[in-house]
Amino acid sequence: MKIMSIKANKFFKISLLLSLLTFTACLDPIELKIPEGFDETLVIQGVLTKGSPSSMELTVTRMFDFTIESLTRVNVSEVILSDEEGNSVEIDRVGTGLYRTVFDESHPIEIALNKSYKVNILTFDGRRYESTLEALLPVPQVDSLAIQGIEKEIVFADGETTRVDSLVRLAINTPLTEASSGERVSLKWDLRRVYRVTDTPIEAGVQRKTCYLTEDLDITTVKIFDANDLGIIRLEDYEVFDQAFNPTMGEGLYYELIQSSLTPTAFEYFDQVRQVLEREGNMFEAPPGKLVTNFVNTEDAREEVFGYFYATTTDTARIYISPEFANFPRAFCPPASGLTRMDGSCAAPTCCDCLSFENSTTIRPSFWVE
Amino acid sequence: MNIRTMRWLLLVISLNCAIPVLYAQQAQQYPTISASFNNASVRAILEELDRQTDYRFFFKTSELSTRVLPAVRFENTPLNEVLDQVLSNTRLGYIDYRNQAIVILPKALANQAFTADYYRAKEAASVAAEEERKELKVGDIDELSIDGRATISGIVRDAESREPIIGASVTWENLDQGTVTGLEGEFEMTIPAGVHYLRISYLGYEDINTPVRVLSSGEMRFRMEKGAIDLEEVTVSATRADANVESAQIGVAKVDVESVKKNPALMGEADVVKTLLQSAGVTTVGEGAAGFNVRGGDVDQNLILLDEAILLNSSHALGFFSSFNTDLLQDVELYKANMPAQFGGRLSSVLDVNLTEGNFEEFKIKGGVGPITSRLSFQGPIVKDKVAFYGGFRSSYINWLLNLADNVEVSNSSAFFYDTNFGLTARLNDNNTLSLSGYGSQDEFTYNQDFGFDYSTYLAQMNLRSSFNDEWLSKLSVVYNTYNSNQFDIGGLNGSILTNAVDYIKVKEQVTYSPTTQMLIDGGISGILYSVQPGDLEPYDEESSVVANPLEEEKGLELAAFANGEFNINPELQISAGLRLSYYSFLGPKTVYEYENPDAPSLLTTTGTTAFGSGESIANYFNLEPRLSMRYRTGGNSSMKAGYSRTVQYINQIFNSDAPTPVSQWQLSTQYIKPTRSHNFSLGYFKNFKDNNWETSAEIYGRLVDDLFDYKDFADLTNNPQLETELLAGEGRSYGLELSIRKKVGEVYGSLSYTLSRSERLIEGINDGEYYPSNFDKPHDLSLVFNYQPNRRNTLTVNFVYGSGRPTTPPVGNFVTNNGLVVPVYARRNASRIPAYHRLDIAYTLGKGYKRDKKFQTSWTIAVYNVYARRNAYSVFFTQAAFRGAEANRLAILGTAFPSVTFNFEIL
Repeated sequence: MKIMSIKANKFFKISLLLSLLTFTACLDPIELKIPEGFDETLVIQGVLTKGSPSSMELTVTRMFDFTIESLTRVNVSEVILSDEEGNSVEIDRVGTGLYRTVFDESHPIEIALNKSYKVNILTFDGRRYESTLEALLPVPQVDSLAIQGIEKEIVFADGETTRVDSLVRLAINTPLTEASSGERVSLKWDLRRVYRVTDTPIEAGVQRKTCYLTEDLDITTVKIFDANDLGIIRLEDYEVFDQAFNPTMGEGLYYELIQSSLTPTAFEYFDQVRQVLEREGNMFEAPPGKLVTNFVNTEDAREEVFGYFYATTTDTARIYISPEFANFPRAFCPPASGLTRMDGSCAAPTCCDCLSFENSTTIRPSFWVE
Repeated sequence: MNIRTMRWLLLVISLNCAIPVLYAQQAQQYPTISASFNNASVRAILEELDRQTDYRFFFKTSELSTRVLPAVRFENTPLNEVLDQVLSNTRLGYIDYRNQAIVILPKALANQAFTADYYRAKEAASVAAEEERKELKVGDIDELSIDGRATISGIVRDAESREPIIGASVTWENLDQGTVTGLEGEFEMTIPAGVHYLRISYLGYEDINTPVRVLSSGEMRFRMEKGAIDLEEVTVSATRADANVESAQIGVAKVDVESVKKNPALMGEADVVKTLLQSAGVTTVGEGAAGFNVRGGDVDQNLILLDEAILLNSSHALGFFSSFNTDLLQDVELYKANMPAQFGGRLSSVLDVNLTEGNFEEFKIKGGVGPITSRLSFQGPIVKDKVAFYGGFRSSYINWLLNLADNVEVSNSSAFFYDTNFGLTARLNDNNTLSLSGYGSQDEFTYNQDFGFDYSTYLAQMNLRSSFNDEWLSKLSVVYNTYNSNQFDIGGLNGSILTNAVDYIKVKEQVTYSPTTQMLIDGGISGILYSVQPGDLEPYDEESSVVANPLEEEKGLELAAFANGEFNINPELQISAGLRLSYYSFLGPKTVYEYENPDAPSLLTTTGTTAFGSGESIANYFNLEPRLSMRYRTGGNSSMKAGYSRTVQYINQIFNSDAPTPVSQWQLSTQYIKPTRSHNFSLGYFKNFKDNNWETSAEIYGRLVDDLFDYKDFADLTNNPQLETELLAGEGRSYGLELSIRKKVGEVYGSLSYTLSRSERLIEGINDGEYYPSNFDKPHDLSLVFNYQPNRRNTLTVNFVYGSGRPTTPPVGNFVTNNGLVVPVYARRNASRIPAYHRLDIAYTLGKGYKRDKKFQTSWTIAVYNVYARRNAYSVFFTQAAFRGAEANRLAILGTAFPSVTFNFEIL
């Protein structure tokens, strides 16, 4: 999403293009010696969100070995949010390494636009980490989302096999300037889908129920947009995502786009995250770097620490994908592969009990209008 | 008296003849001389030597200095040492022709030598001629003298011009008797009657091999045909046979142009730069990377000269092919240690590529057809012996292959490149030669109608060589070069075109002055005015919302005065010393940013701007660049050499990657980006064996680089008006050991080179301020070239290369964002290495036929690149699937054996 993305990967593709003339390119895993000694490094990620109500969420984890996926959350002694005027509040621990507070008038801190906030963390062994002050900037309100059914040729990894898929293309219409000041903004977009599933319990006598499942979409990359380099002040019908028609649309689905404002430093952080995620490791790429952080050990500035704290205002926009729009795809439940295994156990837990899905509810969301 | 003066033409011809025997004669015992001279001229001394020895001395009187030598005394001194001393510090050298003649001639000509190809060609021509020989008869048996001996006299002439050939070798092979022809091409020998085998040979001519039935005394006349070998092909830039031992210069790699064509090449395209990689100390970061790295230096630290023009990009197709048309190359030299003072502006090396001047005698067309490229070149006289021209054209035709591909993205892409050379050389008179030449190249790539780039070089140059008298020589050069690159995103909101460009005008005057026979000074001045467009960003089309952002053009003026001197202290010790004074000015008009701390510019500490007017000096640098090299002969065929040089670079290429791309911008030194400077040290031992046919060397080197810069993490280098805020200053060091062994002549010949080296950087802000490997740090690098050539036509070449994998920055861990995104964490730059690179290539060349007078000649090269299908890593990246640990993956773009056939032709 960043302007002038003509960079290393493009030269790499050209190189690949030349090599494809020989039809000899091949990919295989290799052993690579990787430096050790970073296992104990803390990663602190926090976001203060202004809304109704405003909230603060922060996680403390240890970085895990690159070859082992083992998310290790770490409890700390205290997590303090404070503003530029010195008002502060302790953030509640709601789980291992997970801290969250939803603010109301009883809290001695006001979450307000254009104020700055920082986070202070004290570990049980006495180390203290503090973030820099992050301004809470307003965000432009999304005018609308738009959908369009398209057909797209999908090229498989072999470069030769293709398939034409019917897709839904999601586009956004939004201003790129803040309404009150007229200043250009840097944006972050997070996508979710909320879809309806009616389950098919396999136990006798259990009634079918309808759930509304929420899950993040497109979580392999970071969607950010910097309007500062552009000559326009609005995005019109700007594509942010596409997805093939699929069974999640069988009983209706809402796309949900959360537009967040970012300060320049927060944008820089997420842009760096984007870059490391998109790396291809070829000789035309810049070397990956250490992600910027706004946390520092107040007594030992040289200690490695990762993560970022930022404050944001968000605006959420949604759009409904009806089964008709999606060409009446097969319903999510029961699955085409069958509901039960040979031994009679459930093969698709969400379809046997839709509440078994992690983020699921039988309460119809207030925005759900068919 | 055997001393003769000769006409210039004949002298030149005789040089060519005499050179080949240099190899064979190096180890011979020379007669000793006892004589003393007081204020004697060189000519007088030569006459005395002629009197005291059995050698015949040939020279051109006008070339001998009229100055006299101070008192000098020889006591049982070998002839070669006497000559070395007498001719030291003159422009003259000598060659020994078959123990029979000494030819005095300019060093530049004396230093010409010939490759294995030459000797094989000579041998083959002799064999072929021998097959066709017919018996000749001389005299009448009735007139045979009573002692049974006959005096045979004869004259040898050029078959075409009828000019007598001086110095041709006339040998009665079975009698072991021989002589050389005199000034009129005449010879005379007394031999017994009978059937004998006569051989007459001369460089550049078919040998005459014939049985002769000698009946009595008589006369014979011979006409020798030109074309026994193609001089153009073998006139490569090797110096005299023991030049690697004799020369004071250390670290010079010379490329045998003809052997380049026989090297197994990717897609059959002969490539000078790839051949250079077979030299010790010359590496590349990987397949398809542009340029080359010399002794731990970056790619942009190599000065690449096409005659006098500086090439800012020397590759096509990103780096898969180099820009040089091999059919037009005259000689190629790489100075990788001490560059002579006339070269400057780069830290690591000089690649000095000289093209042909054109053929003053006859028209010639050459060409070749390969799988994806073809080339054509032609040269010939416009006015015979006065004005010659040459031209060449190479082009790719990749698109038709792309269109055939099943891959959708490939078939929607396009790729094309071409280059062209042309030149005109006019011998204005005996003292002046003017050459005008031009070069143009262009590359264009479009990927899937999504993005693309193009880049081009166009240059023109004029060189005027003048000889005022026997003391003063001059070369005046004027060059204009323009290099442009565009990269573009096609269409859409972000559609844009980014243009970078470098233009320069270069003027250089170099004079060679030899006021006395003891002194040789080579000096001059040069100036280069650069105009650099660091970035001009424009929207691609009306749909684009990109805001145009052309950066200000930058100008820099680089001036230099330089001088070299060569001093023979004694026969063992030779010193070559030089000094280059360089001055650089970064010029306005320019608006420059000011910072709170100019030594550490950052966006956050920007305090304002200052505007400078046109031509106003913004920053100035002055540097002294001494160059010193010494040779000490430790024996007949061995020497020690040492060298030191200081080099300074005022223009650098900006690329935050292992290899630059053709669109990586060039950046002039500014008040914030200081010139990079390097101390270069070399020490080596050189020893030859078997009449200099085997060359061995061991060199150690070290380089310390000041004001080196590297890039901040996630540096934004594109279209950035405050580029200095993305750079970190520091220093670099590289050091290594280079071992080399080479066999030059024989049925089997080749070379083996090994380099053990490190290239490291120390930059505050990267890896905790500790030394870390540079992107092109390759501790081990080995190259083996094996040639088997049983005869002139057939050559089998085998190449094997091995190199440590290039450094890479691996992730040290992961963390997960709140929405489940797994983010790899990188911490230490270049802390790991990709797997080692190795590859075996084989090529078979079926050369041109023996009959050199054929008007149409062809040759074929059949090659297999990467014979054992090694999957060398082109890129390494990391993936992490759900519920699985992360994996490092290797992408090999040439992961299989790749055959090619190249057809070459020549029309005479």
